[in-house]
Amino acid sequence: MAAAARIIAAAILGVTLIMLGTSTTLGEDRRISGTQHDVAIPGTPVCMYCHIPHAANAETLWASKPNMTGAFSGLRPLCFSCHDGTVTSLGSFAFDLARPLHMRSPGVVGADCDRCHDAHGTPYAKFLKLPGAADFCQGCHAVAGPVNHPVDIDARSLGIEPQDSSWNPYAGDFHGTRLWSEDGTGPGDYMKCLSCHATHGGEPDTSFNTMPSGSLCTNCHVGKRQVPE
Amino acid sequence: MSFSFPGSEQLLPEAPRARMLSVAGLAALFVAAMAFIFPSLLPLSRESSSARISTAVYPAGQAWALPHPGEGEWLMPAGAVTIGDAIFVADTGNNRILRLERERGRATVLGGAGLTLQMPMAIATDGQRLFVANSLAGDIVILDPSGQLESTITLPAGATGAPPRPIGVAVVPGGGLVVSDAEHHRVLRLDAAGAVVWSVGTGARGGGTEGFNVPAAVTVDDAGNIYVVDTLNARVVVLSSTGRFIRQIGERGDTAGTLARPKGVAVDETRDIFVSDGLLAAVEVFDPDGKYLGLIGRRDPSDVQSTSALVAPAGISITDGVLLVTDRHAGLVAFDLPPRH
Repeated sequence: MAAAARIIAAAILGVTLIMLGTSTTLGEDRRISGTQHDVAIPGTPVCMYCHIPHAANAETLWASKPNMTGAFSGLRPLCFSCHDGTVTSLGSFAFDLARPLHMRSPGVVGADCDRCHDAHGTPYAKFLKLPGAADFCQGCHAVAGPVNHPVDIDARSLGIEPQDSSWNPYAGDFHGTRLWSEDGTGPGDYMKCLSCHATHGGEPDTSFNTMPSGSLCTNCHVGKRQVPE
Repeated sequence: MSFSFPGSEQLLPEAPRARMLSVAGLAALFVAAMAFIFPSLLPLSRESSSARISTAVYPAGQAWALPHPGEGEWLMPAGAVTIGDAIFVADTGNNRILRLERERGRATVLGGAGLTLQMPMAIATDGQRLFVANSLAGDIVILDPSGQLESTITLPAGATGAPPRPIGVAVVPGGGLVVSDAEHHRVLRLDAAGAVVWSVGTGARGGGTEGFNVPAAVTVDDAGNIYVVDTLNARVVVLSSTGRFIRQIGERGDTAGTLARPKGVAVDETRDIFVSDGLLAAVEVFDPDGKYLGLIGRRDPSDVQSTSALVAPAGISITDGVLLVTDRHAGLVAFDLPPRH
Protein backbone atom coordinates (compact mmCIF):
# COMPACT_ATOMS: atom_id res chain seq x y z
CA MET A 1 0.00 0.00 0.00
CA ALA A 2 2.78 2.36 0.97
CA ALA A 3 4.69 1.42 -2.16
CA ALA A 4 1.67 2.18 -4.30
CA ALA A 5 1.30 5.55 -2.62
CA ARG A 6 4.93 6.35 -3.32
CA ILE A 7 4.53 5.40 -6.97
CA ILE A 8 1.46 7.59 -7.30
CA ALA A 9 3.22 10.47 -5.58
CA ALA A 10 6.23 10.05 -7.82
CA ALA A 11 4.02 10.03 -10.90
CA ILE A 12 2.22 13.18 -9.81
CA LEU A 13 5.51 14.91 -9.09
CA GLY A 14 6.98 13.80 -12.39
CA VAL A 15 4.04 15.12 -14.38
CA THR A 16 4.15 18.34 -12.39
CA LEU A 17 7.83 18.78 -13.11
CA ILE A 18 7.28 18.26 -16.81
CA MET A 19 4.43 20.76 -16.81
CA LEU A 20 6.49 23.28 -14.91
CA GLY A 21 9.46 22.85 -17.17
CA THR A 22 7.49 23.40 -20.32
CA SER A 23 5.25 26.09 -18.98
CA THR A 24 5.78 29.63 -20.10
CA THR A 25 3.49 31.02 -17.44
CA LEU A 26 5.44 29.80 -14.49
CA GLY A 27 6.97 33.14 -13.75
CA GLU A 28 9.85 34.94 -15.32
CA ASP A 29 12.18 34.29 -12.44
CA ARG A 30 11.72 30.54 -12.17
CA ARG A 31 11.84 28.63 -15.42
CA ILE A 32 14.42 26.74 -17.35
CA SER A 33 13.22 27.20 -20.88
CA GLY A 34 15.44 29.66 -22.62
CA THR A 35 18.11 29.71 -19.95
CA GLN A 36 21.56 28.20 -20.21
CA HIS A 37 20.17 25.21 -18.36
CA ASP A 38 17.75 24.51 -21.18
CA VAL A 39 19.66 21.67 -22.79
CA ALA A 40 16.61 20.07 -24.33
CA ILE A 41 16.13 19.19 -27.93
CA PRO A 42 13.54 21.71 -29.11
CA GLY A 43 10.05 20.42 -28.49
CA THR A 44 11.00 17.99 -25.75
CA PRO A 45 10.55 18.40 -21.97
CA VAL A 46 13.42 20.26 -20.36
CA CYS A 47 13.10 18.45 -17.02
CA MET A 48 14.14 14.97 -18.01
CA TYR A 49 17.80 15.85 -18.40
CA CYS A 50 18.19 16.11 -14.63
CA HIS A 51 15.05 14.46 -13.30
CA ILE A 52 14.13 10.85 -13.86
CA PRO A 53 10.36 10.76 -14.34
CA HIS A 54 9.86 7.04 -13.85
CA ALA A 55 11.32 4.45 -11.51
CA ALA A 56 13.84 6.86 -10.06
CA ASN A 57 15.96 5.59 -7.25
CA ALA A 58 16.33 8.98 -5.64
CA GLU A 59 13.56 10.69 -3.72
CA THR A 60 13.89 13.85 -5.73
CA LEU A 61 13.57 12.15 -9.07
CA TRP A 62 17.06 12.78 -10.22
CA ALA A 63 19.68 10.22 -10.89
CA SER A 64 20.52 7.98 -8.00
CA LYS A 65 22.83 9.29 -5.34
CA PRO A 66 26.11 7.54 -6.00
CA ASN A 67 28.07 9.46 -3.41
CA MET A 68 26.26 9.73 -0.14
CA THR A 69 28.88 11.44 1.97
CA GLY A 70 31.94 13.60 1.74
CA ALA A 71 32.89 16.61 -0.33
CA PHE A 72 31.42 15.13 -3.50
CA SER A 73 27.90 14.45 -2.38
CA GLY A 74 24.47 16.02 -2.42
CA LEU A 75 23.82 18.16 -5.49
CA ARG A 76 27.47 18.45 -6.42
CA PRO A 77 27.69 15.28 -8.53
CA LEU A 78 24.59 16.30 -10.46
CA CYS A 79 26.00 19.76 -11.20
CA PHE A 80 29.39 18.31 -12.10
CA SER A 81 27.81 15.83 -14.48
CA CYS A 82 27.41 18.76 -16.89
CA HIS A 83 29.98 21.26 -15.60
CA ASP A 84 32.81 18.81 -16.08
CA GLY A 85 33.89 20.04 -19.48
CA THR A 86 31.44 17.94 -21.45
CA VAL A 87 28.15 19.81 -21.59
CA THR A 88 29.97 22.97 -20.52
CA SER A 89 33.38 24.01 -19.26
CA LEU A 90 31.91 26.87 -17.24
CA GLY A 91 32.57 26.58 -13.53
CA SER A 92 34.51 23.35 -13.77
CA PHE A 93 37.11 24.67 -11.33
CA ALA A 94 34.43 24.82 -8.64
CA PHE A 95 34.58 21.04 -8.40
CA ASP A 96 38.24 20.80 -7.46
CA LEU A 97 37.85 18.95 -4.19
CA ALA A 98 41.22 20.17 -2.96
CA ARG A 99 39.99 23.74 -2.80
CA PRO A 100 37.56 25.09 -0.26
CA LEU A 101 33.96 25.64 -1.08
CA HIS A 102 31.50 27.90 0.67
CA MET A 103 29.74 26.01 3.45
CA ARG A 104 26.86 23.87 2.27
CA SER A 105 24.81 21.00 3.60
CA PRO A 106 24.83 18.23 1.00
CA GLY A 107 21.35 16.97 0.24
CA VAL A 108 19.54 19.61 2.25
CA VAL A 109 17.18 21.55 0.03
CA GLY A 110 18.13 25.22 -0.03
CA ALA A 111 21.39 24.65 1.79
CA ASP A 112 23.37 22.70 -0.77
CA CYS A 113 24.62 24.26 -4.03
CA ASP A 114 21.13 25.73 -4.08
CA ARG A 115 22.04 27.89 -1.11
CA CYS A 116 23.29 30.43 -3.65
CA HIS A 117 22.23 29.05 -7.02
CA ASP A 118 18.82 28.12 -8.34
CA ALA A 119 19.27 25.84 -11.31
CA HIS A 120 15.69 26.51 -12.35
CA GLY A 121 16.47 30.05 -13.32
CA THR A 122 16.77 33.43 -11.66
CA PRO A 123 16.82 37.00 -12.94
CA TYR A 124 20.51 37.19 -12.09
CA ALA A 125 23.70 36.00 -13.69
CA LYS A 126 25.12 32.56 -12.95
CA PHE A 127 21.74 31.42 -11.64
CA LEU A 128 22.39 33.30 -8.41
CA LYS A 129 19.44 33.71 -6.10
CA LEU A 130 20.29 37.23 -5.04
CA PRO A 131 21.43 40.31 -6.90
CA GLY A 132 24.60 42.13 -6.16
CA ALA A 133 27.21 40.70 -8.49
CA ALA A 134 30.55 41.13 -6.73
CA ASP A 135 28.72 42.26 -3.59
CA PHE A 136 26.55 39.18 -3.61
CA CYS A 137 27.91 38.02 -0.26
CA GLN A 138 26.19 40.87 1.54
CA GLY A 139 22.85 39.29 0.75
CA CYS A 140 23.51 36.97 3.67
CA HIS A 141 26.56 38.40 5.39
CA ALA A 142 25.48 41.86 6.42
CA VAL A 143 28.76 42.50 8.16
CA ALA A 144 30.47 44.73 5.65
CA GLY A 145 30.41 48.12 7.32
CA PRO A 146 32.52 50.64 9.17
CA VAL A 147 34.06 48.08 11.51
CA ASN A 148 35.10 45.83 8.67
CA HIS A 149 37.30 46.32 5.71
CA PRO A 150 35.39 48.82 3.57
CA VAL A 151 33.80 47.67 0.37
CA ASP A 152 32.16 49.58 -2.44
CA ILE A 153 34.98 52.11 -2.44
CA ASP A 154 36.92 53.41 -5.41
CA ALA A 155 40.29 51.93 -4.52
CA ARG A 156 42.22 53.47 -7.36
CA SER A 157 41.03 56.96 -6.49
CA LEU A 158 42.71 56.34 -3.13
CA GLY A 159 45.94 55.40 -4.81
CA ILE A 160 45.62 51.69 -4.22
CA GLU A 161 46.70 49.44 -7.04
CA PRO A 162 46.82 45.67 -6.51
CA GLN A 163 50.16 44.21 -7.47
CA ASP A 164 48.38 41.11 -8.76
CA SER A 165 44.95 42.03 -10.05
CA SER A 166 44.40 38.89 -12.08
CA TRP A 167 42.34 35.95 -10.78
CA ASN A 168 41.49 33.53 -13.55
CA PRO A 169 40.73 30.04 -12.30
CA TYR A 170 40.14 28.77 -15.82
CA ALA A 171 43.82 29.37 -16.50
CA GLY A 172 44.86 27.93 -13.16
CA ASP A 173 45.40 31.39 -11.68
CA PHE A 174 43.94 31.40 -8.17
CA HIS A 175 45.94 34.36 -6.87
CA GLY A 176 45.00 38.00 -7.15
CA THR A 177 42.66 40.71 -5.88
CA ARG A 178 40.36 42.00 -8.55
CA LEU A 179 38.87 45.48 -8.70
CA TRP A 180 35.37 45.81 -10.04
CA SER A 181 33.06 48.26 -11.70
CA GLU A 182 30.82 50.18 -9.33
CA ASP A 183 27.91 47.82 -9.97
CA GLY A 184 30.15 44.80 -9.53
CA THR A 185 29.43 43.25 -12.88
CA GLY A 186 32.82 43.68 -14.52
CA PRO A 187 36.35 45.04 -14.17
CA GLY A 188 36.77 48.49 -12.73
CA ASP A 189 38.24 50.42 -9.83
CA TYR A 190 36.08 49.36 -6.91
CA MET A 191 36.85 47.19 -3.94
CA LYS A 192 34.17 44.50 -3.54
CA CYS A 193 33.70 41.36 -1.47
CA LEU A 194 34.97 39.28 -4.37
CA SER A 195 38.17 41.30 -4.47
CA CYS A 196 39.47 39.21 -1.60
CA HIS A 197 37.13 36.22 -1.49
CA ALA A 198 36.06 33.52 -3.91
CA THR A 199 33.33 31.13 -2.85
CA HIS A 200 34.78 28.57 -5.25
CA GLY A 201 38.50 28.19 -5.63
CA GLY A 202 39.79 30.14 -2.65
CA GLU A 203 42.94 29.37 -0.78
CA PRO A 204 42.79 26.28 1.43
CA ASP A 205 42.35 26.93 5.13
CA THR A 206 41.22 30.53 4.66
CA SER A 207 37.89 32.30 4.40
CA PHE A 208 37.89 31.58 0.67
CA ASN A 209 40.61 34.17 0.25
CA THR A 210 41.95 34.81 -3.21
CA MET A 211 45.51 34.94 -1.91
CA PRO A 212 47.40 33.29 0.93
CA SER A 213 46.89 35.08 4.20
CA GLY A 214 50.43 36.42 4.23
CA SER A 215 50.02 38.31 1.00
CA LEU A 216 46.34 39.12 0.80
CA CYS A 217 46.67 42.51 2.49
CA THR A 218 50.05 43.49 1.10
CA ASN A 219 48.93 42.79 -2.44
CA CYS A 220 47.07 46.11 -2.24
CA HIS A 221 48.64 47.77 0.77
CA VAL A 222 52.27 48.02 -0.20
CA GLY A 223 53.46 49.62 2.99
CA LYS A 224 51.24 51.04 5.67
CA ARG A 225 51.21 54.48 4.09
CA GLN A 226 48.92 53.22 1.37
CA VAL A 227 46.12 52.67 3.82
CA PRO A 228 43.81 55.63 3.25
CA GLU A 229 43.21 57.88 6.20
CA MET B 1 26.88 -16.69 -25.17
CA SER B 2 25.64 -15.11 -22.04
CA PHE B 3 28.07 -13.12 -20.03
CA SER B 4 28.10 -12.21 -16.41
CA PHE B 5 30.50 -10.40 -14.21
CA PRO B 6 31.74 -11.87 -11.01
CA GLY B 7 30.34 -10.54 -7.79
CA SER B 8 31.82 -7.34 -6.56
CA GLU B 9 33.19 -9.10 -3.52
CA GLN B 10 35.56 -10.65 -6.01
CA LEU B 11 35.87 -7.58 -8.19
CA LEU B 12 36.73 -4.93 -5.73
CA PRO B 13 38.50 -5.73 -2.50
CA GLU B 14 41.35 -7.72 -3.94
CA ALA B 15 44.15 -5.49 -5.11
CA PRO B 16 45.07 -7.68 -8.13
CA ARG B 17 41.53 -7.48 -9.41
CA ALA B 18 40.71 -3.87 -8.70
CA ARG B 19 43.86 -1.87 -8.80
CA MET B 20 43.74 1.81 -8.21
CA LEU B 21 46.30 4.40 -9.05
CA SER B 22 46.35 7.97 -7.94
CA VAL B 23 49.20 10.42 -7.79
CA ALA B 24 47.80 12.62 -5.09
CA GLY B 25 50.86 14.38 -3.79
CA LEU B 26 53.34 13.87 -1.08
CA ALA B 27 50.89 12.70 1.51
CA ALA B 28 49.75 9.87 -0.69
CA LEU B 29 53.34 9.13 -1.58
CA PHE B 30 54.23 8.79 2.03
CA VAL B 31 51.46 6.32 2.60
CA ALA B 32 52.39 4.53 -0.62
CA ALA B 33 55.95 4.22 0.55
CA MET B 34 54.69 2.81 3.82
CA ALA B 35 52.60 0.32 1.92
CA PHE B 36 55.67 -0.60 -0.11
CA ILE B 37 57.74 -1.06 2.98
CA PHE B 38 55.01 -2.90 4.79
CA PRO B 39 53.34 -4.96 2.07
CA SER B 40 51.19 -6.70 4.61
CA LEU B 41 49.01 -3.62 4.43
CA LEU B 42 47.94 -4.86 1.02
CA PRO B 43 45.55 -5.82 -0.35
CA LEU B 44 43.45 -3.01 0.98
CA SER B 45 39.84 -3.40 1.83
CA ARG B 46 37.18 -1.18 0.40
CA GLU B 47 36.49 0.02 3.89
CA SER B 48 39.93 1.60 3.97
CA SER B 49 40.27 5.34 4.08
CA SER B 50 40.46 7.13 0.75
CA ALA B 51 44.14 7.84 1.32
CA ARG B 52 44.90 4.18 1.69
CA ILE B 53 42.72 3.21 -1.24
CA SER B 54 44.64 5.67 -3.39
CA THR B 55 47.81 3.83 -2.55
CA ALA B 56 46.62 0.47 -3.75
CA VAL B 57 48.90 1.48 -6.55
CA TYR B 58 49.34 0.10 -9.98
CA PRO B 59 51.06 -2.25 -9.61
CA ALA B 60 50.26 -2.74 -5.97
CA GLY B 61 52.90 -1.63 -3.57
CA GLN B 62 54.88 0.55 -5.96
CA ALA B 63 55.28 4.24 -5.28
CA TRP B 64 55.64 6.85 -7.97
CA ALA B 65 58.85 8.85 -7.80
CA LEU B 66 57.91 12.33 -8.84
CA PRO B 67 60.55 14.61 -10.30
CA HIS B 68 59.40 17.55 -8.22
CA PRO B 69 57.05 17.83 -5.29
CA GLY B 70 53.58 18.33 -6.58
CA GLU B 71 54.45 17.83 -10.23
CA GLY B 72 52.79 14.46 -10.33
CA GLU B 73 49.58 15.67 -8.75
CA TRP B 74 46.75 15.64 -11.15
CA LEU B 75 43.50 17.47 -11.19
CA MET B 76 40.27 16.03 -12.47
CA PRO B 77 41.78 13.83 -15.21
CA ALA B 78 39.34 12.90 -17.97
CA GLY B 79 41.00 10.08 -19.89
CA ALA B 80 43.96 7.74 -20.17
CA VAL B 81 45.48 5.31 -22.66
CA THR B 82 48.23 2.74 -22.48
CA ILE B 83 51.26 2.30 -24.74
CA GLY B 84 53.45 -0.55 -23.61
CA ASP B 85 54.45 0.09 -20.05
CA ALA B 86 53.33 3.69 -19.98
CA ILE B 87 49.97 5.18 -19.14
CA PHE B 88 49.25 8.59 -20.62
CA VAL B 89 46.75 10.64 -18.67
CA ALA B 90 44.81 13.68 -19.83
CA ASP B 91 45.38 15.80 -16.72
CA THR B 92 42.45 18.00 -17.62
CA GLY B 93 42.44 20.37 -14.66
CA ASN B 94 46.14 21.10 -15.06
CA ASN B 95 45.99 21.46 -18.86
CA ARG B 96 48.67 18.88 -19.56
CA ILE B 97 49.42 15.24 -20.34
CA LEU B 98 51.13 13.02 -17.78
CA ARG B 99 53.18 9.97 -18.62
CA LEU B 100 53.17 7.33 -15.89
CA GLU B 101 55.79 4.64 -16.27
CA ARG B 102 54.94 1.54 -14.33
CA GLU B 103 58.32 -0.17 -14.47
CA ARG B 104 60.30 2.89 -13.51
CA GLY B 105 57.63 4.09 -11.13
CA ARG B 106 57.73 7.71 -12.11
CA ALA B 107 55.52 10.39 -13.57
CA THR B 108 56.60 12.99 -16.09
CA VAL B 109 54.88 15.88 -17.78
CA LEU B 110 54.81 15.68 -21.56
CA GLY B 111 55.99 18.60 -23.58
CA GLY B 112 56.88 20.82 -20.66
CA ALA B 113 56.01 24.47 -20.84
CA GLY B 114 56.24 24.44 -24.63
CA LEU B 115 53.07 22.43 -24.99
CA THR B 116 50.00 24.56 -24.42
CA LEU B 117 46.76 22.71 -23.83
CA GLN B 118 43.38 24.10 -22.91
CA MET B 119 41.21 21.64 -21.06
CA PRO B 120 42.26 18.38 -22.74
CA MET B 121 39.16 16.22 -22.43
CA ALA B 122 40.17 13.00 -24.18
CA ILE B 123 43.21 11.10 -25.35
CA ALA B 124 43.62 8.29 -27.87
CA THR B 125 46.50 6.36 -29.34
CA ASP B 126 47.39 4.31 -32.41
CA GLY B 127 50.14 2.63 -30.44
CA GLN B 128 52.73 5.06 -31.76
CA ARG B 129 51.30 8.50 -31.21
CA LEU B 130 48.94 10.32 -28.89
CA PHE B 131 45.90 12.27 -30.05
CA VAL B 132 44.57 14.81 -27.58
CA ALA B 133 41.16 16.48 -27.79
CA ASN B 134 42.22 19.99 -26.83
CA SER B 135 38.70 21.12 -26.14
CA LEU B 136 38.88 24.85 -25.52
CA ALA B 137 41.43 25.39 -28.27
CA GLY B 138 39.20 23.58 -30.76
CA ASP B 139 41.91 21.33 -32.11
CA ILE B 140 43.47 17.90 -31.96
CA VAL B 141 47.09 17.82 -30.79
CA ILE B 142 49.27 14.94 -32.00
CA LEU B 143 52.27 13.99 -29.86
CA ASP B 144 54.86 11.27 -29.85
CA PRO B 145 55.18 9.30 -26.61
CA SER B 146 58.05 11.50 -25.50
CA GLY B 147 55.78 14.51 -25.70
CA GLN B 148 57.20 15.96 -28.90
CA LEU B 149 54.53 17.87 -30.78
CA GLU B 150 54.08 16.32 -34.22
CA SER B 151 51.20 18.35 -35.56
CA THR B 152 47.91 19.99 -34.75
CA ILE B 153 44.62 19.47 -36.55
CA THR B 154 42.43 22.55 -36.44
CA LEU B 155 38.79 21.55 -36.68
CA PRO B 156 36.43 23.45 -38.96
CA ALA B 157 33.99 25.91 -37.45
CA GLY B 158 30.38 24.85 -37.17
CA ALA B 159 27.31 26.42 -38.68
CA THR B 160 27.05 29.05 -35.96
CA GLY B 161 30.61 30.15 -36.45
CA ALA B 162 31.48 29.34 -32.88
CA PRO B 163 34.76 27.50 -32.37
CA PRO B 164 34.44 23.72 -32.19
CA ARG B 165 34.86 22.05 -28.80
CA PRO B 166 36.28 18.54 -29.25
CA ILE B 167 35.76 16.35 -26.18
CA GLY B 168 36.19 12.91 -27.72
CA VAL B 169 38.76 11.40 -30.07
CA ALA B 170 39.41 7.89 -31.38
CA VAL B 171 41.77 6.36 -33.88
CA VAL B 172 40.28 4.61 -36.91
CA PRO B 173 42.05 1.38 -37.89
CA GLY B 174 43.72 2.01 -41.22
CA GLY B 175 44.12 5.70 -40.64
CA GLY B 176 42.34 8.82 -39.57
CA LEU B 177 40.34 9.88 -36.57
CA VAL B 178 36.82 10.24 -35.28
CA VAL B 179 36.23 13.39 -33.24
CA SER B 180 33.19 14.61 -31.33
CA ASP B 181 32.39 18.31 -31.29
CA ALA B 182 30.20 19.14 -28.29
CA GLU B 183 29.69 22.73 -29.36
CA HIS B 184 28.06 21.85 -32.66
CA HIS B 185 26.62 18.47 -31.64
CA ARG B 186 28.38 16.64 -34.44
CA VAL B 187 30.79 13.81 -35.04
CA LEU B 188 33.55 14.27 -37.58
CA ARG B 189 35.44 11.61 -39.48
CA LEU B 190 38.90 12.89 -40.41
CA ASP B 191 41.36 11.31 -42.79
CA ALA B 192 45.01 10.81 -41.92
CA ALA B 193 45.79 14.35 -43.05
CA GLY B 194 43.06 15.82 -40.85
CA ALA B 195 40.61 16.62 -43.63
CA VAL B 196 36.92 16.04 -42.94
CA VAL B 197 35.62 12.90 -44.68
CA TRP B 198 32.11 13.13 -43.32
CA SER B 199 30.17 14.77 -40.52
CA VAL B 200 27.11 13.47 -38.68
CA GLY B 201 24.87 15.76 -36.67
CA THR B 202 22.49 18.59 -37.41
CA GLY B 203 24.68 21.31 -35.94
CA ALA B 204 22.21 21.85 -33.10
CA ARG B 205 20.87 19.73 -30.27
CA GLY B 206 19.19 16.72 -31.80
CA GLY B 207 18.50 13.03 -31.47
CA GLY B 208 17.05 10.13 -33.40
CA THR B 209 19.13 8.76 -36.22
CA GLU B 210 20.73 12.00 -37.32
CA GLY B 211 21.43 14.09 -34.28
CA PHE B 212 23.27 14.27 -30.99
CA ASN B 213 22.86 16.27 -27.82
CA VAL B 214 26.45 16.81 -26.66
CA PRO B 215 28.40 13.96 -28.25
CA ALA B 216 31.33 13.10 -26.02
CA ALA B 217 33.58 10.04 -25.90
CA VAL B 218 34.04 8.03 -29.08
CA THR B 219 35.67 4.73 -29.88
CA VAL B 220 36.03 2.45 -32.90
CA ASP B 221 35.87 -1.35 -33.00
CA ASP B 222 38.04 -3.59 -35.17
CA ALA B 223 35.39 -3.61 -37.90
CA GLY B 224 35.39 0.15 -38.11
CA ASN B 225 32.05 0.69 -36.37
CA ILE B 226 31.98 3.92 -34.38
CA TYR B 227 30.50 4.27 -30.90
CA VAL B 228 29.49 7.74 -29.73
CA VAL B 229 28.46 8.68 -26.20
CA ASP B 230 25.45 10.92 -26.76
CA THR B 231 25.59 12.47 -23.32
CA LEU B 232 22.32 14.29 -22.89
CA ASN B 233 20.35 11.75 -24.88
CA ALA B 234 21.56 9.14 -22.39
CA ARG B 235 22.63 6.64 -25.00
CA VAL B 236 25.51 5.35 -27.08
CA VAL B 237 25.01 5.68 -30.82
CA VAL B 238 26.60 3.10 -33.08
CA LEU B 239 27.56 4.35 -36.53
CA SER B 240 28.97 2.47 -39.48
CA SER B 241 32.38 3.40 -40.82
CA THR B 242 30.59 5.66 -43.30
CA GLY B 243 28.59 7.42 -40.62
CA ARG B 244 25.31 5.58 -41.11
CA PHE B 245 23.20 5.12 -37.98
CA ILE B 246 23.11 1.45 -36.97
CA ARG B 247 21.57 1.38 -33.52
CA GLN B 248 21.52 2.99 -30.11
CA ILE B 249 22.53 1.40 -26.83
CA GLY B 250 20.89 2.24 -23.51
CA GLU B 251 18.06 4.44 -22.38
CA ARG B 252 17.62 7.19 -19.84
CA GLY B 253 17.27 6.21 -16.20
CA ASP B 254 19.08 5.65 -12.94
CA THR B 255 18.64 1.93 -12.53
CA ALA B 256 20.89 -0.94 -13.55
CA GLY B 257 20.86 -1.17 -17.33
CA THR B 258 19.91 2.46 -17.93
CA LEU B 259 22.09 5.52 -18.38
CA ALA B 260 21.95 8.80 -16.47
CA ARG B 261 25.04 10.68 -17.60
CA PRO B 262 27.17 8.47 -19.86
CA LYS B 263 30.73 9.70 -20.15
CA GLY B 264 33.10 7.11 -21.58
CA VAL B 265 32.86 4.17 -23.96
CA ALA B 266 35.08 1.23 -24.86
CA VAL B 267 34.58 -1.94 -26.87
CA ASP B 268 36.36 -5.21 -26.24
CA GLU B 269 37.38 -7.91 -28.70
CA THR B 270 33.93 -9.53 -28.55
CA ARG B 271 32.37 -6.13 -29.28
CA ASP B 272 30.68 -5.91 -25.94
CA ILE B 273 30.22 -2.26 -25.08
CA PHE B 274 31.42 -0.70 -21.83
CA VAL B 275 29.89 2.63 -20.82
CA SER B 276 31.00 4.70 -17.84
CA ASP B 277 28.30 6.77 -16.19
CA GLY B 278 29.28 9.82 -14.19
CA LEU B 279 26.10 9.90 -12.15
CA LEU B 280 25.67 6.20 -11.58
CA ALA B 281 29.36 6.03 -10.62
CA ALA B 282 29.75 2.73 -12.42
CA VAL B 283 30.58 1.14 -15.74
CA GLU B 284 27.75 -0.68 -17.44
CA VAL B 285 28.24 -3.42 -20.01
CA PHE B 286 26.05 -4.22 -22.98
CA ASP B 287 26.31 -6.90 -25.64
CA PRO B 288 26.66 -5.88 -29.30
CA ASP B 289 22.88 -5.83 -29.68
CA GLY B 290 22.42 -3.56 -26.71
CA LYS B 291 21.34 -6.14 -24.17
CA TYR B 292 22.41 -5.15 -20.67
CA LEU B 293 24.96 -7.57 -19.23
CA GLY B 294 26.19 -6.19 -15.95
CA LEU B 295 27.67 -3.50 -13.79
CA ILE B 296 31.27 -2.85 -12.78
CA GLY B 297 32.31 -0.72 -9.86
CA ARG B 298 29.51 -1.31 -7.35
CA ARG B 299 29.72 -3.66 -4.42
CA ASP B 300 26.53 -5.32 -5.59
CA PRO B 301 26.65 -5.61 -9.38
CA SER B 302 22.89 -5.68 -9.53
CA ASP B 303 22.38 -2.59 -7.39
CA VAL B 304 23.40 0.87 -8.57
CA GLN B 305 22.69 2.12 -5.06
CA SER B 306 25.33 -0.05 -3.45
CA THR B 307 28.70 1.37 -2.48
CA SER B 308 30.89 2.29 -5.43
CA ALA B 309 34.63 2.13 -5.94
CA LEU B 310 34.19 5.02 -8.37
CA VAL B 311 33.28 8.64 -7.78
CA ALA B 312 32.94 10.33 -11.16
CA PRO B 313 34.10 7.94 -13.87
CA ALA B 314 34.87 9.47 -17.25
CA GLY B 315 37.10 8.13 -20.03
CA ILE B 316 37.64 4.39 -20.26
CA SER B 317 39.88 2.15 -22.34
CA ILE B 318 40.55 -1.58 -22.57
CA THR B 319 44.05 -2.94 -23.11
CA ASP B 320 45.10 -6.57 -22.72
CA GLY B 321 42.04 -7.49 -20.71
CA VAL B 322 42.30 -4.56 -18.34
CA LEU B 323 39.55 -1.96 -18.15
CA LEU B 324 41.18 1.34 -17.24
CA VAL B 325 38.74 3.87 -15.81
CA THR B 326 39.75 7.50 -15.47
CA ASP B 327 37.79 8.94 -12.61
CA ARG B 328 37.66 12.73 -12.33
CA HIS B 329 38.07 12.54 -8.57
CA ALA B 330 39.33 9.05 -7.70
CA GLY B 331 42.18 8.87 -10.23
CA LEU B 332 42.79 5.77 -12.32
CA VAL B 333 40.98 2.59 -11.45
CA ALA B 334 41.89 -0.60 -13.31
CA PHE B 335 39.72 -3.71 -13.44
CA ASP B 336 40.89 -7.06 -14.71
CA LEU B 337 38.13 -8.27 -16.98
CA PRO B 338 37.10 -11.90 -16.80
CA PRO B 339 38.18 -14.11 -19.73
CA ARG B 340 35.93 -13.63 -22.73
CA HIS B 341 34.55 -16.24 -25.09
